[in-house]
Amino acid sequence: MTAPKVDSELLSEVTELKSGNVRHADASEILEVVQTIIDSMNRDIPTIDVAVKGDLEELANYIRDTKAEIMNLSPEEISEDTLPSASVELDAIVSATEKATNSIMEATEIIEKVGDEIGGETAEKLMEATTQIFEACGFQDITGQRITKVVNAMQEIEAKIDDLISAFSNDDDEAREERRRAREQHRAEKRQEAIAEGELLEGPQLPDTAVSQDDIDALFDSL
Amino acid sequence: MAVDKNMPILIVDDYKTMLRIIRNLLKQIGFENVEEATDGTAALAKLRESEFKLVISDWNMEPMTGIELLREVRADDNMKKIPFIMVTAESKTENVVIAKEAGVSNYIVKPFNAATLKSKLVGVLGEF
Repeated sequence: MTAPKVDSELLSEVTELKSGNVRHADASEILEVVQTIIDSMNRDIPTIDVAVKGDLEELANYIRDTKAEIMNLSPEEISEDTLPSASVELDAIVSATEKATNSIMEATEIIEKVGDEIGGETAEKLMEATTQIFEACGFQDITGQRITKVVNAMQEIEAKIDDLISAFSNDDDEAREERRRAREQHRAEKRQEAIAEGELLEGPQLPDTAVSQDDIDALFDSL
Repeated sequence: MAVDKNMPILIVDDYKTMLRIIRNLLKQIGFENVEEATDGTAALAKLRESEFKLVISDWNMEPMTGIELLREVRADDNMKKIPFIMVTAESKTENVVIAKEAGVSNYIVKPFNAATLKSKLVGVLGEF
């Protein structure tokens, strides 16, 4: 059986795809090539190798279906909204635990001073207790470190989703840069919201934007 | 040689709450001359500026980690003999080995208690 004459344009497209980074190869491009091969097989080869054509058509369908499924997951929403929001929430946890731990230690330091003034056995008993409090406050450091690991893991997920979006859309460097900027902007916006609500310690809390018990009391009394 | 409880101690950790805890626990044992740094680079600058008799440091910090700080200290003729205790959540064998090979004087795993801190200090400084 003589080998079919391969379309030279098709051959160069395949070569280009092979030489590039396969992970980032645009699935649409692959789909195009596969479809071209199927069409040229239909055209140029009277005796069609049914099995090969069947495989190629299955491949083309698989790529189409996967693309549709991935788009259904709304990956852009996940990477531009869901994940940045989640990471701000985690930062807020670290902030809140830091604030609380400092309050606890401040009060404990006062107890110690009082103990020093009293002296004697009472002071010793007090110090045993304050030691326990200081030791327990170490939790904030541990939880903070664990949360940092989670935030790092989320950043990896963000990057992989970006790769996914890239592979299944007609993408280029400019589009990727655009998405990166959108993510950073969303993250900055969420952080600003959290700071305004007093949930993130960054700079002085603006008294007129933070919701306080006084605000709630005023609202309550007005209803 | 009696241990001078007024000796200057440098504690290094990127979590300010941890610095406060260690400072308070040291105070309970009688060591009140304590200075703080929140990363290795700042710590190194302080160590170069004035004399410290002990360094207590965390491992995971940016931009300079505790282990990098340890290596810098051990590589500097003026500082290399300073006792250096690592206090860290890293508990894997390989971490302890790395620290030991880099010249750490002792290794405390977080979360730690006051008794452990005291006994490691005694181990490094002598009885007090």
